Formats: sequence, C-alpha cells, structure tokens
Amino acid sequence: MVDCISSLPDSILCDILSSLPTKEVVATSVLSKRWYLLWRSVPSFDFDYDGDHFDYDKDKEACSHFLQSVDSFLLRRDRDEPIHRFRLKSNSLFDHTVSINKWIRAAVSGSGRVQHLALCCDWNVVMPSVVFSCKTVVVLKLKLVTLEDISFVDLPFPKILHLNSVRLSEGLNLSLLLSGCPNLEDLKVEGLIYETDVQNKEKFISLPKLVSATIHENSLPLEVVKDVEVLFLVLDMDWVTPLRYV
Amino acid sequence: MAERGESSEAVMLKKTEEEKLRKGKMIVGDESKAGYEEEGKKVKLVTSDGVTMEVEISIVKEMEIIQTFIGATDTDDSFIFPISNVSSHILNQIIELVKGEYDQELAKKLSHDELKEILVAANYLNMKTLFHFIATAIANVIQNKSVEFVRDFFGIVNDFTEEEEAELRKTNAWAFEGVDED
Repeated sequence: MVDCISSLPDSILCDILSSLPTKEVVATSVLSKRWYLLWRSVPSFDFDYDGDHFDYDKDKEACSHFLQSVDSFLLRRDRDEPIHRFRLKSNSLFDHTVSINKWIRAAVSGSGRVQHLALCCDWNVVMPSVVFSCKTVVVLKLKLVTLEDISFVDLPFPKILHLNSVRLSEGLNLSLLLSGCPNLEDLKVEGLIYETDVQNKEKFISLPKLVSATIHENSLPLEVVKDVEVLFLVLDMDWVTPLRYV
Repeated sequence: MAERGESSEAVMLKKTEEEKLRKGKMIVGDESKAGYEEEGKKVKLVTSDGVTMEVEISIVKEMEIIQTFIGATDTDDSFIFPISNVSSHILNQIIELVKGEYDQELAKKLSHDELKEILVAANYLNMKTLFHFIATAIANVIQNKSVEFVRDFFGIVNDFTEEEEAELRKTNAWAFEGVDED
C-alpha cells in the first residue's frame, strides 16, 4: 500500500495540488524528479499578498518582490494548461492594477478557462469586462473591486455569485449583472457601493434556480429572492424588513 | 469571504429542513433524481479481500464504473460486482463519507494511509464527488508542511543530489521563502 499514490497519473497529483496556494505548489518541484515539472501543469493560480500599511518603503520592496514572483510563475508554468481556479487576495497592490488585470486576463482568456474566480483587492482594481462574458465561470466571488464596464454580461453557468463591498461605477446597477446570470443557485450581496443613486429604477429579473441567498440591507428587492429555500437577511438595526414577501 | 458588520443581525428563514437538504444536494449533482422508486434496493459488491457487501443503490449510483456495468448488462438482484481494487475496510469508509454528505470533519478522522487508499479507490470506481472531496482533504493535510513531510506522505524517494536540490531551490527561490523546515 505504501506507494499506491505513485502509481497514479500526474493529472491526479495535479488535482490534489490545485487547491493549495501556488507558493506551495511550486515548492513541490524539489520533491523528486517525477515532481520536478509537475507544478507547471497544476490548473490553479492562488496568491496572497499582505503588505505593510505602516512602512511605505518596506511595502514597496515587498510588493515588487511579490509581483516578480507571480510573473515568474506565469512565465514558467505551462501556458497551454488551463487555470481552473483563480484566487487573489491582496490589500495594498494599488499601484499595480495593470499587473492584476493582466493576471485576471490570463485566467479568463485563451487556454485559461477559469471556473472558480475569487478576488479580494481594493477599489482601484477594475474588473476587466471579459470576465463577464467568460463562458467557463461557475463560481464568482468578488470583494473590494470596482465594476466599470458590465454593458455585456453573458455568464450562463455561474451557480454561485458573491459580491462583498463591490463598487459600481456611475450609471451601473446590480440588475445589469444579475440579468446576465440566469442560472444562479447561490447569491450573496453585501455592501454594494453605488456611485449614483439608481437603485430605485432597477428592473430585476427573477432567478428561478436560486436556492440560497444572503442579501445585505436593501441591496436587492425581496421579490427576487422570495422563492429561495434558505434566505439570510443581513440587516442594520434601524432598518425593518418587510417580511410579508417571504 | 463574507464578514458581517457588528451592528448587523442575521435572520435565517427557511422552509423544512428536508427541502433544504434536497435542494442543497441538487447543487452538487443530479444523481439523486433517478432512483426514488428504487429506494432501499441494495447491490452486492465483492471487495479485494473477498467480502461480499450489500451497498445501498443511492451510494452505488455514485460509482460510475458500476453504472457502466449496470447499463451494459441486464441485471437482477442476484448480480454480484467484483471491485478488486478496493478492500472492505475502505469500502466501509467510503460508505460513511457518502452518508455523512462529505463532511471534511469526517476526513480529519482518517489516517494518512486511509486517505490515500480512498483516493485510489475513488479514482478506480470513478466517484467524482468523493474524488474531489478526498483530494481536498489530502491537500489540507499537506498544506503548510515541510518538503520532508510531503515526501513522507506520498512515499516519494528523493532522487535529487544535494547540489541538484539546492539549485532547484534557487530557481524558484520565492516559493521557499518564509517556510519552516521542520
């Protein structure tokens, strides 16, 4: 039994590695000759950057080092292999939104074929519009990013959409986004930031497949979620929910 | 990713628990759709150690290798399927995991050898949900561990010379920074 794992094909080892942070995936290159190039085919991109908010110079240095690491990873991995899972969490890369955009594009276009996309950045990061017409996306979790161009949303497959502290540029509203995701089963909307007050004019479609919803305050009319099985309403104390809808 | 404000209050409204579970399962897959009228029916499987086990049809339905068999042959209750790569111990573990609706807490109770054997079995039986579940459980075990731990876990023999390994560490130096080697 001891070595049953070594009889498995590389693709299965890649499946195991694909839920790990990329740093650990790349470190497997020293395990043995068989593992030496395996990391290049692991279909995930998973980076965390925790900058130094109190020391600008230190942060600048750490940040440039981080960018180099990610670029070196993208350059050396096998670019014909997909990136099924893309996760980036960073708190102070605001000077480098161009790089972040480039990484996201690598995941959603060409051989990227991303299925699971999770971003937690800051509002200087504007989501590239190609994300919203990426046919392979099944899970989309966005936190602290800005949406500027959602004029064409065509996401037929997402089952899970979580938005947390997402900023919507002038003239945009949530209904634009939701109308392009008719097959959602799990929706979470917390703390949307609108640049204009358009909420009242929004026309929401119903989401017939929705099973679970978590909505914050009055981010969404309750009609949209009236048929779900599990509903979390996150309320401010001074805001009274009209429960008659449920 | 969801953090709720401290001044907020979460209100959970739901219909019956059963309905939630039923709908919840549909997110994972549609396997549950077909077999309601067959509920209670069992399929006989013979494990690698020669034990004949009667397994509920709902669990067997996740084993695509057996589904292929059932589809290809005209079967009745007396039909016995050999699963020559899976021991009765591992099949029992698999049944517990499926019944427990793939709770990662259950995976924490498994030994390293059991985790690896279940992975190999899931691959052989072509059980997709189990495979992804156990691959994630294995990733959780090796996360944040030293190179030596991972070699030991997978039974990997280091065939690099010291010089070669040092050279490799230099090539991807960023991946080894701030990692404890214990």
